[in-house]
This record gives sequence, C-alpha cells and structure tokens, in this order.
Amino acid sequence: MHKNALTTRGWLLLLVLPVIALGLLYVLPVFNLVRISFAQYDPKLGVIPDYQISNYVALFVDVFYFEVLWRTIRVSLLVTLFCAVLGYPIAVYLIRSSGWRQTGIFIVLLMPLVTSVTVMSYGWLILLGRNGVINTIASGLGLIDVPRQFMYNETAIVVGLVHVLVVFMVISIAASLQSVDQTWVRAARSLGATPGVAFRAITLPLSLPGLRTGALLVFVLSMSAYATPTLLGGTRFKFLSYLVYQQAISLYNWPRGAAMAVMLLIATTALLALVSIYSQIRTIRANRRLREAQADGPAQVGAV
Amino acid sequence: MSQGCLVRPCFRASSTDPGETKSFLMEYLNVNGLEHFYATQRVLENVSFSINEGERLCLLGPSGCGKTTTLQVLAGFVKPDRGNVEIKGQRVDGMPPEKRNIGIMFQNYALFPHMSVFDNVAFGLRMRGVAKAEISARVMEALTLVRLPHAASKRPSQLSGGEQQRIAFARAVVIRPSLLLLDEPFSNLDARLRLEMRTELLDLLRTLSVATVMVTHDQEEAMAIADRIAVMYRGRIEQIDTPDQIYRNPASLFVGRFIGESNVLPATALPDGRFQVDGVGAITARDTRPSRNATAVQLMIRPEHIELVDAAPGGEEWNSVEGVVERQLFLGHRTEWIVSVGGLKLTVWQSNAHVRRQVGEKVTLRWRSADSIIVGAEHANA
Repeated sequence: MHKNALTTRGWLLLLVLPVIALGLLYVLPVFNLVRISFAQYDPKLGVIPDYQISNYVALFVDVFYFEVLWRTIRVSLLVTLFCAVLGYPIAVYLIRSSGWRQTGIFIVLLMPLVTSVTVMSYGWLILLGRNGVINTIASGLGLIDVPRQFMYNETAIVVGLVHVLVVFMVISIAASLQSVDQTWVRAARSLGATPGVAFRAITLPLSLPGLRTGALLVFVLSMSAYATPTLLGGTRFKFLSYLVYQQAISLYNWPRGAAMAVMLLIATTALLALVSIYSQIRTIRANRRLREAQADGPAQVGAV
Repeated sequence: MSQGCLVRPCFRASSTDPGETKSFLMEYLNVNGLEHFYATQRVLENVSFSINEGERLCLLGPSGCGKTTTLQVLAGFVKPDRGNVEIKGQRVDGMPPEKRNIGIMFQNYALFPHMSVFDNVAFGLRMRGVAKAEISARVMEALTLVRLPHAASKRPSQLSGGEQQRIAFARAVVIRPSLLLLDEPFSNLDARLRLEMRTELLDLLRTLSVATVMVTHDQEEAMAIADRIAVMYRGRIEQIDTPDQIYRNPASLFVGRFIGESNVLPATALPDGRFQVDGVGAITARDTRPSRNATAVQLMIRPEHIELVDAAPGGEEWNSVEGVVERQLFLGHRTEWIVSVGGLKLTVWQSNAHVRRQVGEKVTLRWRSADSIIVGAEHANA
C-alpha cells in the first residue's frame, strides 16, 4: 500500500464527525418529528405523548389538505418543467460565453437568491399587479379593457419560483454541458448530421445527467418552498409548507403540523424514488439488450 | 468475409460516365489559394495544393504552422477568408460539413461515449438513411477490416487506445468518404503502439486506396505514411514533394532544418560557382535555388553525410576541411562527434563506427559536393 494512503480505520475515523453531525442535526430531529406526528394535541395541555395514527386519519379525510398537497406537487412539477425548458438554452449560452459576459449572466441568475423574498414579491407586484406595468401597457395598447389580476394565483407562484430556482437548473446543466467535447459534435457533423441532429444525438443525451440533477434540485426546493408561494399565491393559493407553518406556529398543533410535514417528506421522496426506479429499469433493460446482442453474435447487433 | 465494397473496386464503380477520361486527368482534390485570419493574425497564406485519387498527402509542420487550420477548412469547420476547395471538380467550400462526405479521424478519436462501438460506426450510415440490414453488414465489414468484429457491443471506454483508434478509422471509412482526413493520428498512443499502428494504418490506407490528407508534426510519421509531404511554416507551404525529395532537396532553410538534422553554415556565393564559408574556406555545393540573385546564402550538410577521415581525399567531388574534435558521444547505433572548424561547430554522425577519437584530436572531415546544399537565406532566423 502507498505510504500516504489511508487505512480502512483511517477512513472510518474520518467518517465519525460527519456521522455525529448528521445524527444530531438531521436524523434525531426527523425522528422526533415522526414521533410527534403520532402524538395527540390538546388545546389546554399541549402535546400529549399518546401515540396513535389519528393525525394521519384526519389528514386523509381532509379534502382541503389534499387539494393543497396536489397543488404543491403540480406547481412543483410545472416549475421543474419551466426551469428545464428555460434553463437549457441559458446553460448553452452560458458555457459558450466567457469573461464579463459569463460573469454578467451569473450575477443575473444569482440575483434572486441574494434578494429578500419580500422585496422580490413587491417587484412582481409592480409588474403583475392590477395597477402594474403589464396591465398599464396592455390597456394602453387597447389589448384589454379591464385590468386583470396576474398576482395571487398559481401562475404567479410558478413565475416566482422559476425566477428563484432556475439558477440551480442552469448550473447543473452547464456543468454537464461542459463535459460534452465539441469534437464529438464535429464528428457527428462530419458523419452527416445537421447541427440539430447532432444536438439531439450527441449533446442532449450526454447532458441528461445535469438535467436530471437540476430537475431533482428544483423539484425538491420547490416542494418545500415557503416564502415565495405564500407571498405570491395570496390567501387562496396555499402551499403545503404554509399549512405546516399554520398548524405548528399559529395553532400550536405540533402533532398535526408534524404529520403534514411527514406526508410532504413522503410525497417528495416517493416521487423521486419513482423517477429513480424508472431510470434504473431503463439501464437494466439497456444492459440486457447489450448482453443479448453479444450472445447472439455481432451480426445481430444491428437489429436491436 | 468476402472482399467488400470498402475496398477499391466498388469505390470506382460509380464513375462510369462518358466523362470518365476527362475527370481522370483532373486532379482529385484541388485546394486553391487559401487565406485565413484569426483576428488580425494571418494563419493561412496562399495555401494551394492538389492530390490525385487514392493519394496520401501529409501536412507537416510545427505547431501554429496552419496545418490544422487547413484540415479544418477541408472538413468545413472553418470557412476560409479567401480561396476554394474542389473535390472531383465540385466546389465544396460553401458546403456545411455534413454535406461534404468527408471521413475524419480526430486526434482524440472523438468516439461517442454513450454509444456502443456498433452504433458509433453505424452513425454515418444511419444519417445517410441506409437500410438496416445493409448498415449491419457494412458496419461488420468495417469492423472486420480493422480486426475488431468482436468489439461491436462494447462501449468505447472499454477499449484500449489502439482499439479506439481502429474504431475511429472504421467509423470514418464506413461511409465511403470522398476524402479521408487524419488529424495527428498517432499522438495519443504510446511509443511502441505508435510504430505498430503506423504500419497497420498504412496497410489499411493502401487497401482502401482513398484520397487522404493527414496532419502531423512528426516527420517520421509523415515519411512513413505519405506519398507526398507538404511542409508548412507560418501559414505557408514551404515545399510539397515526395518524402525522398523533401529530405534530399529541401527548398528552404526551414525545410532543411525541420526535416532531419542539418549543419547550416552561412556562406557567400563566389564568382567561380563555389561558396565561401568564413573560417572554413571555399566549398563546392549543389545549388537548387530557383533564383540565384542573392549572394548571401546558407549551406546545409546533413551530419550523416560527413565522414571522419585521417587524410584528405583527392577528387573534385569531395569537399574536405580540417577540424578539432570537441565532443564524442557513443549512442549505440551511431556515434556523434562535434567538430570545431574555424570557429564553426559541425555535427558528424557515423553508424557502426569502431573508430574512437580523442577530444582535441585534429581530424579531417569530408563530404560529397552533392551533399552540401545551398538554400536561400530568407528564413535565416527560423
């Protein structure tokens, strides 16, 4: 073994600190959350350690709760989709530019992350509100008679979340685009592929890992988003994280809030698991096809 | 496997029109007056050459000489500022790369990492809409040609460097290209494999007999593969000729220095046709310059053409000078001496030399008049 190489024990020692940190800061609280979600709540006595599934039963018969859960999932999927569609061309442009232009794009993309959500929401209000820029221009041009409300609905939530989260998509896609060697594209061109075909056959499939990572990040962040949907969705269009906040902080019903949070966690994890299982199956199938092709002899390969 | 369509007979089968005789006389590939600038820097200056059907031309030169840009122009990745390219009498310089039917073997092979070897080789045929059964047959034929039929279902990453290169070659030729471009084909291989692949590639190119332009900075590769070599320097073609002629009759000081080793001595033309080298004397030399107006010239002698002798030989065809041994290096297959002659230092090589000299010993050097070549002095700072 190399003199400087770490022994197995060395590696384990290195792992001790992160394991302790994760255990204390993550596993323990989540465990506690799950525990509380089975407890009971009494307005006078607070949390009672009487563990039952009644909180979950109450959620399952609550139509409003499911409406909000479904909205959270649906809006998050939409946000992910829009981030992907908008983020891909931006990522392509980003890696093709350099110097001050690249820096400029980065600053524009990162701006929403360093700006207060409240300030940003007022910004959207100026643009989308009833007396906002868009309404004024549209009515000035005679496109609409009565000012429309663009704020305080799901569209506003999608716009706001895409604005904040698209940077995660762009950075993930840009990272994987960076690893796509331009000589591959040139090779495809020399073999008869038009720029569009070369993109579909070479660049796109090779940048899919970045797209997948970006989608994962954006979806998870969107599912748990609180401030942006609350401010832009108004009173009628709530996200699940708002309901959790309402239960735990406003109503002091920690067990109910915990049950909601656990459901959100399960819903998010389940969706991610589905996607991951789907891609696993695809990989296994592709490998089996390759093996079968090899077993059948090379002459058959063209048939797959 | 039967003799497939990749080899020459089928290659020519398409050209049976009455104009055959005429087009046969025409050069196969014509490159005329290429000029190209990157920003304000001129990277190509009046680059013109043509090659015949089945001929292998090598663009040879140091980095930054314009050889790669020339290849990019042929491939269609760079649009030249001036000049044109014709293949079989047809202008291709306005065409995008995908319309040119040019096979390229890239320096890093550029095999698609997410596709099997089969799909890599099949890519060009699929782009051409070839029927499935024919794709299968032609891909396997190409893989058999490069002796890798069993690698069809592997990924490029599972192959060795030499195997990857063979797949890259199969992918470039399976489309039956009108022109094959090889970009530094051996630079990514280790020294031993390089020699092996050189022979193998030459055999393949001879079998296919496809017009080929190869780019390299390695003169040995160029000499081994090419029918003709175009030596490029500072965006211009300095000389284009057979490897033999390039070596024996370099057209410029740069070519003489870049190809092989040379002793270069500044000289002045004398009225009697000989050349005066300061500190050495009057030398008889072969003057191959197109114009003999200049009197300040460079005299070039290859180290292996100089002999170390004890006594000055007679005869018109010999030059001989006296010198002092400064250094002796035994290199196995040859011995190298640095001999000081009148303040100039000459390198001398002798193969299988059993003779040993003492440092400081007085010796006589001789070489044939025909082996001292006069080149112009225009690139004296090369």
